[in-house]
Amino acid sequence: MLSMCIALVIPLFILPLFIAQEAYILHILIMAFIFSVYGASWDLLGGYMGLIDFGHAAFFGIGAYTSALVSLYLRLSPYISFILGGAGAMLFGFLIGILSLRFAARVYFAICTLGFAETVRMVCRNWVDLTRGVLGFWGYPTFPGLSSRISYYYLALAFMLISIFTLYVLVNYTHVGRVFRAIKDNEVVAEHRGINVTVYKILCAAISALFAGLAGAVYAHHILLLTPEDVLSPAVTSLAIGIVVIGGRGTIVGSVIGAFLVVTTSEVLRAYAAVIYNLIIFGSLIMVFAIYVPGGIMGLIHWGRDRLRREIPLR
Amino acid sequence: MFWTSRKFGPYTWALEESQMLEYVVHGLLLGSLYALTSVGLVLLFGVTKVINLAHGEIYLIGGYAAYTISSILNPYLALLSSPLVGFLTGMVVVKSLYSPVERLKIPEADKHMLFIVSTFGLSIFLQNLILLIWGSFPLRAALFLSGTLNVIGITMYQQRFLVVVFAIGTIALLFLFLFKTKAGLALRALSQDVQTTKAMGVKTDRLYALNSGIAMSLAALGGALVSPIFWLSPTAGVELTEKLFAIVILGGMGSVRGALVASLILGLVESISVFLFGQQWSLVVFFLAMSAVLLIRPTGIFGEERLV
Repeated sequence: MLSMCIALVIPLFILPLFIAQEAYILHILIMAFIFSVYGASWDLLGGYMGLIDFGHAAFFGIGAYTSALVSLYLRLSPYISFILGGAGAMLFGFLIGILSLRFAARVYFAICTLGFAETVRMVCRNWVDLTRGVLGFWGYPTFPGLSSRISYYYLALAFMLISIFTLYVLVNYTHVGRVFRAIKDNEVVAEHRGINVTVYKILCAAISALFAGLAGAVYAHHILLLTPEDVLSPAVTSLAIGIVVIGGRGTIVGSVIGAFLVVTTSEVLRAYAAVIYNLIIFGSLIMVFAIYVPGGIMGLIHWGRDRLRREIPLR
Repeated sequence: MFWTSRKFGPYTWALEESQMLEYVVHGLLLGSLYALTSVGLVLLFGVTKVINLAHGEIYLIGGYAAYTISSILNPYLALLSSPLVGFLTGMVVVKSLYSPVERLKIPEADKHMLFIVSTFGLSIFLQNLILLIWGSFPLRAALFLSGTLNVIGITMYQQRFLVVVFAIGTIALLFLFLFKTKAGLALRALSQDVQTTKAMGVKTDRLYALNSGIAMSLAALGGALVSPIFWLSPTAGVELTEKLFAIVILGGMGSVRGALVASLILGLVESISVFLFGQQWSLVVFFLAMSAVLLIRPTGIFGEERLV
């Protein structure tokens, strides 16, 4: 597994040497890196905790807007505002957690996040004095010393590797991750083992929001133009859900595969067909994968590997 | 007053009594629309324990179908055929999305999650299908009834009156169905205990299809009724879905009575808040109402876990 990951990652480091002039391809790869982390943060909630977040765009957007606003109005370095963006998203994830995770029924979280995302979008649209509303927020600086696209590529790559590694270790090799999986498998048993389920659920929401916010901040300083429709609309949430459902739930690595597939496919569809078809196909893919391929592409890979080794298949 | 300043909305005039009454009447209209659509959501949650994120899009499909049929044929035919379209959609959704998940051998919570995620996919799919068929330009059907009506000193369109009458009539029919028929009894049983209901020899698959059909036909009927009043646009569904969830939480998840009362309350609250702050803040008001309910009384108005 580890050798496979290294074999896949090394080409990403060498690739810019060959396509240094292809700004468009570099841009697509940067987006794929950012959305890998964004998808993985959804996976932490959806795949490991069994909590469905239908307003993940809110955390992404809060991270993006916070970082942009702080770096423009307070004149802080983007390296600091990037952290503040993550922290701002984390704060809201914490609040939403407190609001909706105190109950046994998990639908409250789904509904609450859905409403929260739309509320944040409305506030962002209508608070024109601060965010310039639908006109778009721009004019804030990018990371100093990273003005060229290749350097930003390496920043996004490093951001993805560190975040994915952190999340992977967190859920697989730490006590907290074990508790997350225990709660997903059987909440009642976990509670009887003396685990304070609510606290861990809120912690999970906060960590997930933190990484979504950091991804949003990296996105903001790459694109350098934020509109409520671009970073806060339900389409952004559907991106996270699509990435995870297609890549494979409950496997942090799956969202990397999902992100690369989704980002490149939508770019191809954008080039050869209208955006409407893009979203129609995306919606149907989410439906088909959720119902008929619940394991996603990672599930298919595991199934194929087991078949090759002539072991007993998963189902 | 702070609400009369430009910052909080486009209105610069003060609150007057006659206008206030008109806003109350408009709130009743909104309330009856919300009642009609949220009851379906509650039925779905009460019986199958899942939420449908595509409910607003089903409402839109009902509205758009009514728009097309009433512009080609007859507006009253539209009122009849829109619920039919909704009913068929509901059946298809259950047969193609719910039943396959139900058959998987995974924990119950996982099944619910997969289905809810797939309804999210459905909502994106339907939104863009609507965009493809009817375009992004907002549409409004012709008025069925163009006259006005004078009640206690305020004038209202007969069309709006029709919505309220239809909503009350349909919900009365729904209650008759739930309490006076065998299928209704089975549905109420299913909402309490799936295993026992199965043991009594009830074919649950058909009931799920029927339940979802009824739920979605109510949403489609709501869309058809208000299609001459509110503008239809592909993204209007998301907003409605979120408002309906706020209503369902205020009424208590899975309680029909609670949802009816909550729709009236939030319809009035929305109408007043539109007057005070402007249309663009209405979703924020709904979210604040929902948060307040979750903080103070998470079980909703009636606070019991029963379908009716």
